[in-house]
Amino acid sequence: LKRLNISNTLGQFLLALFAISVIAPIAWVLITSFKNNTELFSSPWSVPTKPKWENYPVALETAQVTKRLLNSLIATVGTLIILIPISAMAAYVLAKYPFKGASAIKFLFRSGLMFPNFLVIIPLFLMFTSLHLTNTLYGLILAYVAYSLAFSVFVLGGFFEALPNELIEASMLDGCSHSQTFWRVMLPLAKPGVLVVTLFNAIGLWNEFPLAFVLIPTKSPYETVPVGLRTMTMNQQYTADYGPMFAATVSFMIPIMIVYILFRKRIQETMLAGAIKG
Amino acid sequence: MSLRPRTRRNLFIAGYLGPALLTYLVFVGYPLIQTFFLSLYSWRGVSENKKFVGLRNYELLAKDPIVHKVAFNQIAMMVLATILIIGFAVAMAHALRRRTFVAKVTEVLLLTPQVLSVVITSTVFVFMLNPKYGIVSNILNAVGFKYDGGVLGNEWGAKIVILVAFVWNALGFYVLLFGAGLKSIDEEVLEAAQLDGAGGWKLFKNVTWPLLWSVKKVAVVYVVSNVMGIFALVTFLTNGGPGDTSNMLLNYVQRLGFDQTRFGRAVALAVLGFFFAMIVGWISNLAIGKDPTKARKSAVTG
Repeated sequence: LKRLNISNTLGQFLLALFAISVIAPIAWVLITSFKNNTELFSSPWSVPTKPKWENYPVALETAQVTKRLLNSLIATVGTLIILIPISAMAAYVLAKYPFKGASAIKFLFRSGLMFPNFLVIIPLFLMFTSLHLTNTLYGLILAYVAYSLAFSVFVLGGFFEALPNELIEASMLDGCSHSQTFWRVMLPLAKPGVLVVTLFNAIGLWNEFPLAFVLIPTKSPYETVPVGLRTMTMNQQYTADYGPMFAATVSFMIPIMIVYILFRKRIQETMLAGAIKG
Repeated sequence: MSLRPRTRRNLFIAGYLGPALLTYLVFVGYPLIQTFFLSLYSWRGVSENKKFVGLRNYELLAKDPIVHKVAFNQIAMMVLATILIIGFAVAMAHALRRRTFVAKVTEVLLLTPQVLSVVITSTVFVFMLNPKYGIVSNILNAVGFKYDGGVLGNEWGAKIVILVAFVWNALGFYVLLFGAGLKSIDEEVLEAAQLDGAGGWKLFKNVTWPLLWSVKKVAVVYVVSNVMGIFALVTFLTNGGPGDTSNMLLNYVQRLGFDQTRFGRAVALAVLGFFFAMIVGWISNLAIGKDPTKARKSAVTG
């Protein structure tokens, strides 16, 4: 029994260590975002006596916080609006309409899951350059749609396959066309799957870095949050005033933290569902 | 509309599959095929003058000392990250089953690093390790680790920070995964084992650990493919430095292609990456071995 207690204490200690490792850095960045340089260098842990609120307006200006947040929002929402319908349509056909070549197409989508997409970045970049799609948000959205398809079609396919075929037959007997059956009967029933795919992609796209980094050049007005953060950390050695840099980091954290706090349970379930299906 | 049902069905299939399939083939499939061809050419910049050079790009890569460093880092990262992540995740998933205050708080925080994403957490890491004002570098200095240019300016410091940051970012997800695995283990099996006198470490080693087989398999496949996909982490933390000692595959592809405009050589490295990913996937499948519960079941029937 004694041994059991030791391992229990050790386990709780490990959990505490993890919790602190998450809270402490966020707390430090938050505190520092209200400091001036002198306070930052003299006492890294103390709470500033007089919070320097001006760091935030300065950050919004210099780090172009609003513009970058807006670009990320456009890229994420724009991608989802195209991605979700077309991947649901394709997944449905592949799951419920057997035809010659269907398994080959399924294999094509599946194999897209097996390699990091950055490995094809150079041909993609050359193609985007010749089509004048680099340095545009719609180009980025197009790339995002294409590179989110494999996962989305695969996961949604699993949800559609679980629905009974009798539903389609019944709906068709009621006089619905193939399209009507899909939009009115099958898609609403696959809603849990659509939610999983939407949430999973939303978080992934909001944070997407490699494609945006290559397809949107630095100092472009179309920089998303991740690319903006990269520009900021690269320039930090030339920064004279550190407070606003921390304030900008906090500003970039806030939207995704709100989403996490609101949907934590759902996000945890989604990540697991995405993993086990994917 | 008096189309035959068969025609209607075919039109429906084509119309609904078309948008996704076309987008996928044009923007994923075509560049993928091109990757293999382009690796046989040499050209600089976006120019159209591509020169066929056969396998010369591959020869240059084989002789490139940075490629050797990248390969070492990639393999070391896979092995160490797999061990650390699975070890910590199993321990934490066990600890979470006791509903203490600490457990409840930790559960809420589990996915925070992942949802904030490596982009933000790495930015915060860079701040914390800044030699001028970072709190972690202050602590390290106090303990006696002093490096010029900070921890990230030191070869092994940079490597260790990348490993720690990777494991820390990913860990929460694997805790959830093993938590689900533990939940799926039949209570009766555990009780029966306890009645037989197994407890603590013995119970874990002989019963729980083997029964987690399918979760372990998912975990290994995921860690390995996540390591293959490391890019932002290294870009933000070290950008491969100092002197390419902490560089990894995708970062070196980016360096060769976009910073040095050696597109042919960068594409050839990507091709090597594909084969590497395939071989590693195959090896990790072998390493996990066969399903032990399956063997037992067939032993009973046979």
